[in-house]
Amino acid sequence: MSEEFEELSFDEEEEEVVEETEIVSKTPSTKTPAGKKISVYFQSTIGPTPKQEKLVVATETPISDLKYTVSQIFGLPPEEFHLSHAGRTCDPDDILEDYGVEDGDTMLLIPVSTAG
Amino acid sequence: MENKSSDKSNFFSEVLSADERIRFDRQLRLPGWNQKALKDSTVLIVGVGGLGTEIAKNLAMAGVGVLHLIDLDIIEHSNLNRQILFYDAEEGEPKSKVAARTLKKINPHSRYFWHYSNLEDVNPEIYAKADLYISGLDSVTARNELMRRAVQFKKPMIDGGTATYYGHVYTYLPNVNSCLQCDPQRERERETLAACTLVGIPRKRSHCLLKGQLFFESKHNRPPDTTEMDEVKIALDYANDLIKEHFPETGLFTIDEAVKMIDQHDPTVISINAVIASLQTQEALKLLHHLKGIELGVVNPEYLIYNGLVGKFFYLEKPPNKKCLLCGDNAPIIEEIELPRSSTLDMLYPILKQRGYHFDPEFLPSFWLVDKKEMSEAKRNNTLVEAGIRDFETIYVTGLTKNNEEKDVYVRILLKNTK
Repeated sequence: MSEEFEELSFDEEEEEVVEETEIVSKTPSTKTPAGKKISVYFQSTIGPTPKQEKLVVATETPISDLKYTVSQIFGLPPEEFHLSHAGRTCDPDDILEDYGVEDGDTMLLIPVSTAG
Repeated sequence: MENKSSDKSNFFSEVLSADERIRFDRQLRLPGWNQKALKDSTVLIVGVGGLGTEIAKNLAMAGVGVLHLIDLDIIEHSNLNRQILFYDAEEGEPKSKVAARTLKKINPHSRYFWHYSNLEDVNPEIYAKADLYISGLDSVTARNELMRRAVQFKKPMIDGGTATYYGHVYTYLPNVNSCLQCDPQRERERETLAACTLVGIPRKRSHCLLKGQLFFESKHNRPPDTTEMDEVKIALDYANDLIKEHFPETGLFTIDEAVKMIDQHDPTVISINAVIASLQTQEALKLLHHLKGIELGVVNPEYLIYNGLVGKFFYLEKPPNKKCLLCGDNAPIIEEIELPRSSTLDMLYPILKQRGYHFDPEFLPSFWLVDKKEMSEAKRNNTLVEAGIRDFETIYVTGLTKNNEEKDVYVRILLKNTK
């Protein structure tokens, strides 16, 4: 990376930081998921462009929250996919930790293909 | 084992008629193929819709000897974009019946049994004696019901499903990979949306339209006819009043949205259907060879996903879950008990005692008829016939202990003919 580029991006970063401090979370602090933070690869099998994204997630995150966030990132409605880890389809009422997800693991977005 | 030379020959197999030998000529030439194995097989196809008709057509053309076709539905013209077996049917005819009729025309050498009912009403003996089950179902509940039978009778079950341009194929192999209960899914599917979630204030925008629909049903004792604009309007107006009250920030429902939500059908097309159905068929043909002790390729034990938008396949390993309550280490034991049909259920107590189970005489164990569509408790003074217990019926027994541990047990009744 060139020095000029770094200088430019530094200015932008500073602005962003100021913005962030002004945002007040609407989620009550008691409901904020905690636990260990791990990096997980999310890989889609559906959609017009199956792709992979690496995200930092809290191990106590409810699957339903995770699905909602992932649905925004992949542009897929949450009711159209399940999350799957190591062959187990994750229930939205569980938390990530219930499936023994570890740092560096991959979670798949698989279709809810129930039509006959 | 007999070892006649005609057993190993496809062309000179004694089970094939001259007509069949000509009909199947091209496949008789396939390496490793055994037509007799297929002719001697019985396959159960549950759900005779998009996938089921296509699979039934394939298996009939390949010469599988006996097909049981189970479906509780009737034919609608909207089935004709993908369900070839119904091309000449009248609207309203039972799907399973018409499928059997058309299959007989396609290949008259096999036998087709149709069951115009839900899968629970089909005699348990048929599940006990089929070689394998194929699911072309569109309901998660029904898939679970079929899977329980597959696990308990130790039968392979080839499941398929589609969603828009995607689909999956998964072959459950007893003691090899996971059953459907291995995934702890508590989430309710849409079709079983409990009425209680709709009582009171609607929590979701979609609930407003469901309430509109229920409003119509409460007035007319039937759902609105989605081909009648006036009827849809009644449900729609009710729904939009609720939207204005509870979700004013979101837009009102349009009449087309109302039609699609009242008359809920998944979008599907023949191409995706045919891909999934063909994959299910191919796994079935290999398995039928294996079940007769004949080597022919290997069955894919993985969960296969097809993405028709990009033309790609994905595979997931599905290891069995040791904690699974249906197939895991702690799954209830199955006790087979053979009794004449005139026996009372009460007689099961001493038999279970004989087999090392204990119970509190003050609180006698209960017998649950889990194979029925509506699960109920059987009266212990009833005879097996009076309780509606069929051959190979499974009964769930609660309240037993063995080695001081509480044990839930499945009892499989085999009806004994003493004459």
